[in-house]
Amino acid sequence: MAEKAKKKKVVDSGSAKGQQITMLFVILAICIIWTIMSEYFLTVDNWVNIVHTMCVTTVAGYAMTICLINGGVDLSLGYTICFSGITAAMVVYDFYGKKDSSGSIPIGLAVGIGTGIVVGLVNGIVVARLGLPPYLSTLAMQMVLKGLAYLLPGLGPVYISTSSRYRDLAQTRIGGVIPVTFIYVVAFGLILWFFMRKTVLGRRFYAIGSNTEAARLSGINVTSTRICAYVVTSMMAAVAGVLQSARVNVGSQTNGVGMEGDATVAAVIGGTSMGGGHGSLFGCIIGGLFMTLLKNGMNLLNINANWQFVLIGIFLVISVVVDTIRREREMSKLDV
Amino acid sequence: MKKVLAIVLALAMVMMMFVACKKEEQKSSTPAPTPAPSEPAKSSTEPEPSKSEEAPKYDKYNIACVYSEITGDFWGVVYNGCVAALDELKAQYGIEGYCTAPATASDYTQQMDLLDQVLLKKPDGLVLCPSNADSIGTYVTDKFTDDSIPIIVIDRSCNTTSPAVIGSYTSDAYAMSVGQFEMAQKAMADVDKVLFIHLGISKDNQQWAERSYGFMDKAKEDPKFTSYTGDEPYWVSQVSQEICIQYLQDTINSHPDDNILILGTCNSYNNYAITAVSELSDAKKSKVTIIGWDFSATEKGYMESGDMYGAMGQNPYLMGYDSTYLMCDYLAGKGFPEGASVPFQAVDITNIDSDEVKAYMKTMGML
Repeated sequence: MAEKAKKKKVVDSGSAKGQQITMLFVILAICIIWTIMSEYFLTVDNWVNIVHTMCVTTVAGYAMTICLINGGVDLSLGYTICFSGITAAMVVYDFYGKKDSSGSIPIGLAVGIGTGIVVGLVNGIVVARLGLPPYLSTLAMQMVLKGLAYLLPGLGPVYISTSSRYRDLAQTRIGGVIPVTFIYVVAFGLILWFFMRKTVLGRRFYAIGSNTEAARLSGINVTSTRICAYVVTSMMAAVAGVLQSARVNVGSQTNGVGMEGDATVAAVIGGTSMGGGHGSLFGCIIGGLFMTLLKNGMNLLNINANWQFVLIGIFLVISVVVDTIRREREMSKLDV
Repeated sequence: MKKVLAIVLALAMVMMMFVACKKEEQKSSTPAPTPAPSEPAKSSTEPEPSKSEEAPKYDKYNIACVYSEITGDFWGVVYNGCVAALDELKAQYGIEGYCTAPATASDYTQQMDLLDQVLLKKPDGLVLCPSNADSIGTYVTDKFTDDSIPIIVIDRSCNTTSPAVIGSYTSDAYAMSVGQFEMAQKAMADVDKVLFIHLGISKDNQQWAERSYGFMDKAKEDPKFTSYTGDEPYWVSQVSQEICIQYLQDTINSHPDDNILILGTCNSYNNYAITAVSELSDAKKSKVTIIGWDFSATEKGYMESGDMYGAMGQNPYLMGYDSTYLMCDYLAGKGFPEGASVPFQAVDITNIDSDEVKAYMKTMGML
């Protein structure tokens, strides 16, 4: 059994890297096609927008990647983004006019991210401690958050004053060119990479996702580690939620809704295994970039937006099928 | 541990149900805290349809108002108008009524449950804003088979053949859309060519579709205006917020030399346009003009900051207030007035400080 697990680990690791390299080539091919078809694709303004657009999806993708690596799933991710954005916006809104608005922004950030931590804690306790299936428990959390997203603000969307600095959180350009959101993607990616690869807790996420029973037998406290994984997942979702609400300058009930789908696609296209134990944050950036580039080129060419869904859906199936075939081949090679 | 948690959750659920019921009771009997105008709104463009005429003598009717939502910049004001009318009618004539809506605006199944309750309670009249024109329309056709509970539809279309529907009280969306085009002509007077993107809501609902078609029809007659999306607007309800914003940015980036005009058809879409443009370079921003739909404090802020040229404003307060009175008039035997429509107001950076607009804003509780 240990031999089989070892073999699976070798295959998964190689397979994820192989998928990422393939995706980099696919992205390159897409870039070449769009460059030929649209003269505006390779412009600074366009790439600034691409980075702006992919930021929230990628940060949400980080969250889902961590959850999947740990062998879990989080259907409440979209509404965690929505709800944490609303709580942050409510704090900024309430302070605005009563105090210096800039003073309210750090508190809004803290409240938004704190909301995510609480959501993750509840998700983690329900899944790891009570043993409920993650699909069911996070679906229940999704419903709770959906209700609270409407009940808490009381007046629908929370529009932030146009003179507030809240929007600057997501729209500032460093040196007038580089979007601050790009810095977030890189910074969070590096922090999470260090956490996942270089800390004991991060490596335990992989271990539990790969083989829960083996992890338990080797002395890992599976319950508390799972809870931590859900906390980190929801915290990153909350970061995405705050960024999204800052970007649109409103804490809206439509922010982030359905983004658990985009985040999962970004993670899976980037090589994260739906079965747990394997995946990388770099792959998630690739997945986010791929989806953004595909939509961007089609927009530049004025192709109906619904084709984007069709193409991404087809590509997701292809990438999973190719990945499965590659794994099977590598497994059979090891058997030989 | 599991048993304790289960008991705690069950107790919390029961307590929340009590709290929710109590709040619902308060909501149906007291006005919301948003400032309401001291007197019923006066139309800035059309005469007030019901209240200004000779007040009829009403019996003690029971009115149900089932909206698609009762919160937000627009619907919160509609709700205030309705509650103000119900309070007046209760004080003067002992008329009872309530106003409710599903938790989510698009949740037509929950609205059907609310309509089931209306059928059980059998009020004298129903004011309805359908969450979905087709689904609720079919439901109304099936369940309201006679005119024992007359229905006034507000804000949008309800695709039904039910004899219960006695009239519709909405803004003239097509006329407003034409007004939006006239505003666009004024805004783009200094340029030779305009490439526009009309952010339409949905083709399924005639009232919503007309928010775009009035503009698009007029634009076809003016060679200066070219639609980037052809004969149809860009139907935003088919895509997500992120996709719409990206679409706008990509389109603007791929037309650096064009003067671009973006038209909103509701508060949310106004904000999508503002967000999309705010992330562009200053050079690109200077080539884009935004004209919105539904005027509120947010749109006022955008106009003051120079992000938006103007917006077509409905009068949500009157929509709620007048529709309640119109139902009482009908029940008192006055019939439903031909061509009744909710007044609207064009607000832009050239008239935002005028007395006319200030009077309009007062009716909205904005001053």
